Parts: sequence; structure tokens; C-alpha cells
Amino acid sequence: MTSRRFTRLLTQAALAIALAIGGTLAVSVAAPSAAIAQSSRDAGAEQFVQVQGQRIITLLSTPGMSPSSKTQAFKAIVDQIADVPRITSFVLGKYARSITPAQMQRFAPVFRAYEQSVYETQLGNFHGKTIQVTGSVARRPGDVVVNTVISGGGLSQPLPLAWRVLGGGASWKVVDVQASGVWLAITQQQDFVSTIDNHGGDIDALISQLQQQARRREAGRSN
Amino acid sequence: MFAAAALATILGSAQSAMAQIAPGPDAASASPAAPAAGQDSVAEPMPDPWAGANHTFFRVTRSVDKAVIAPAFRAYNRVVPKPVRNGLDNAIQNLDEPRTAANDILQGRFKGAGNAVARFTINSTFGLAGLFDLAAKSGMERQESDFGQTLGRYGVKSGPYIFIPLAGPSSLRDGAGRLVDIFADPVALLAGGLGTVFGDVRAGVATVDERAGVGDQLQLLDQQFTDPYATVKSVYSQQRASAIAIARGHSQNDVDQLPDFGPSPTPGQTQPAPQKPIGDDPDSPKPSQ
Repeated sequence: MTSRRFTRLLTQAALAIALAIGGTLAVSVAAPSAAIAQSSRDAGAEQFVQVQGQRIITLLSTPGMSPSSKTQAFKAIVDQIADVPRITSFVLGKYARSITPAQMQRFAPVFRAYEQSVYETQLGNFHGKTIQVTGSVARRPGDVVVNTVISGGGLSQPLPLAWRVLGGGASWKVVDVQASGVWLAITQQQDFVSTIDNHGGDIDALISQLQQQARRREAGRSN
Repeated sequence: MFAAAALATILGSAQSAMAQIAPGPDAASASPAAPAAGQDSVAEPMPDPWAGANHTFFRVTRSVDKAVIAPAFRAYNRVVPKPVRNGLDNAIQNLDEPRTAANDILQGRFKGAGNAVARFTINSTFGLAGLFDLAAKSGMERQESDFGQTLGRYGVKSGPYIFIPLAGPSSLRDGAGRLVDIFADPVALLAGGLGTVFGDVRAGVATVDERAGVGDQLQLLDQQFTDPYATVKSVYSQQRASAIAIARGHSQNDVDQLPDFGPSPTPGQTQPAPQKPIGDDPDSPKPSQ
């Protein structure tokens, strides 16, 4: 009993010391850094995400629309605002170099359908109503991360969502979306590359797995 | 610790999504432009030298989850009304606020620490022992900080990825950080840690609460991804990289960490025919399998 109390006291003391040291340390590092400004914002990219993001959120939260017409409308928006070919090669990672034209011809459509379904599910699950751009950071000119917050609808708290857009001027395309620290295309790339790795570098294995999943989605829809 | 947020968010239930993002811009920033090799990065998953054991633990965890745990939680979610579950969730998360405050101070994020202290004070009193998250309604949103993140903020690398059986993804650094969080937890030190009635009940409720938040996500992974193991590792690695970027003062993303998207495929083509390496950053180590 006494020893436990002693241990507790000791831990408390250690924590207090750690906090004190940490605090001092942090103050000393914090001071000069305040001067470092974040990279520049991009008004064009922000405008693009504000308008197109709102289009998507509005569509997905429209009540009384049949699932198939919603999917159709969503597909049309994706075709317009996302750089699907670029995403398609990105998710293949190192295998984008070795994929044959014939394989690419089979991969592209099955990935397009897969991507469509994933984005629709992910964004639809947010149940938000409005999107508000909160800022942006340009990695370099033409490669911008736009930060937004989705709120309203079924969301009890506003949900931060970041969009990576490539382009310039008034012409932009979405290539990736991030929620809670996780980028979708990066996750897909690591997922797909691992699947191909696990099959000794056979890209066909990934293609047939995606085709299988598509068949299961179809079956699930018609049931 | 089951990365409830990790799984829940990637698969869409945005419930715990906001915990990590949207910190104040008060954080100290001494970060280099790009992370050094082995540092947490969204572009590369954590190193996985123990992949064999991890795969086994992952498989076993999913089997047990499918057979026993998921059905139990479906029943729990059916029987226990949502307001009660939300209240428990709030109360259990409220007890983590002092830990968050302590880590925020260690990270030099004083605004974050202030937020956590204010939330704890308001919710513990007017929020009836944390059952109601009144602070969030006044714009003070919950943000979690942990000791693994604190270590990462000062440059400690993740070390090997570890999948802890029945618990979830972690790393050597984050697992050690978790132990520190448990044993140096201000609430545990004051009100009682494991081995006391308070501590045991708290740990029990926390486990139930976290698992309830995951829902059927572990089973649903197969529908949206092709390699669930790699996906969970990717999600966890990215979340940690993001949490550490935030601790270093980036508002939400460390954009320098992001991989390049490569050149645009030839215009007019429906399928890309890339000739150049895409998505591979030559400066980064290749992901381990």
C-alpha cells in the first residue's frame, strides 16, 4: 500500500518535471517558428472546390432520388471534375511502369467503376449539406490542397475534408480526397501495390479481384 | 487500441473523424521541409519487418471478430439506445482530456492544451460528468493527443508496424507511447488506474465504447479494398503521419509529404499509358511488402 502510494507520488513528480521541461522546450522552439508562414493559397483552386464540392454534396444528400439515377448523376460529375486517367496510373504505383497496354485496357474500366462506387459511398456517408472552403496550400503552382469543412445534414459536428486538385487558372481536376488524415488515392495505391506484390507482380490478379468485387456489387444491387 | 477512427472514417462513418484534424495554428513548428527517411509519411506505410506475425495476428483478429465480437456488438447496438451510447462515449472520452492537455503542453501546443482543459472543466461539471459534450456545442471541438504523437513530434521514428491481436494497428513507438499514456494518465493518477475499481470500470467501458464505434468495418474492408491488411496499415500510417504533422504545426496536412501525381497521360486517351515512374518518390524508401 505504502509502496503503491510512493510509486504514484514518484510518477506524479516525474510527470510534473516532464511537463515543466516540455513546456520550456516548446516555448523555445515555438518562438522563432511563428515567423514561418504557410505556403501560399490559391484562390482559383479554392473557388473550384467550393463550387464542385457543393455540387457533389448537394447531389448525394438529395432525398427521394433513386439510387440508380443518383449514381448516374454522380458519374457525370466525376467525369467532369476528376482526373480519372491520372488517378488510374497513380493507384498502380510502381506497376504503372510495367503494365501492358492490354492490361491497362482491362484495368481502366474496372477501376473507373470501382472508384465511382467508393467515392459515392464515402462521400455519401458523410450526410452533410454544405461545404465551406477554409483555406488552401499550394505544394507548387498547379498542385494545391484545398481544405474544406462539411456541415449540416446528419453531421453532429463539422467534418474536415481536404481535396487535392491539379491544374491552373479556371481549369482544375480533383485527384485525391482526405478525411481524418487519410487520403483515398494513397490508400488505394498502397492497397493495390500490396495485392500485386502478393501475387508475385501479377497485375492481372488485381484486375480479376476488382472484377469480382464489381460482380458482387452488381449482385448486391439487384437483390 | 483499436484505430476506431482509422477504420470508421475510411469506410465512411465519419463519427470520430474530426478528433484529429482542425487544431489551432499555435503549434510549434521546427519541422523540416520533407521528412527524413523512416519518418512518418503519408506517402509510405510504416516499415513492417514483422509482417509474418502481424499477418497472423490480423487474420486471427478478424476471425474472432467475425465469429464473436461483431455479433456481440450488433446486439449491444440494438439493445442500448443511441443516446445512452453517445453519453457513455462522451463520458469516456472526457476522461482522456487531461491526457490530451498534458501531451499538448509537451508538444508546445498551448492553445490545444487550453482547449482540452476548458472542455474537461465544462463537460465534467455542466456536462454531467462528461455525459454531454456541451463544450463542442460552443465551438470547442475535441482533439486527441497522445504520447506516441509527442515522441513523433520531436523526431522519434515510428519503428516497426505492429498489429496487436484483438486491439488493432500500432507501432513500436506508439505502443510504448500508449503505455506511458496509461501509466502517466493524470486522471488515473488522481482517481485510480488499473487495479482500482474506477480504473478497471473505465478501461472496460473504454474497450466496449471503442469497439462499438468500429461497427462492422473490419468485415466490410473486403468490399472496398483488395488487401485489407495493407489497407489497415496504410490508414494507420497516414493517420499517424497526419497527427504528427499537426503536432509540428501544420494546420492539417504536411503538403511536402505528399507523393507526386506524375505527368498527365496523353490527352484524348481514355486510358493512360504511363512511361515514367508515377507515384514513386525516388527520395523515399520503397514500401516493404
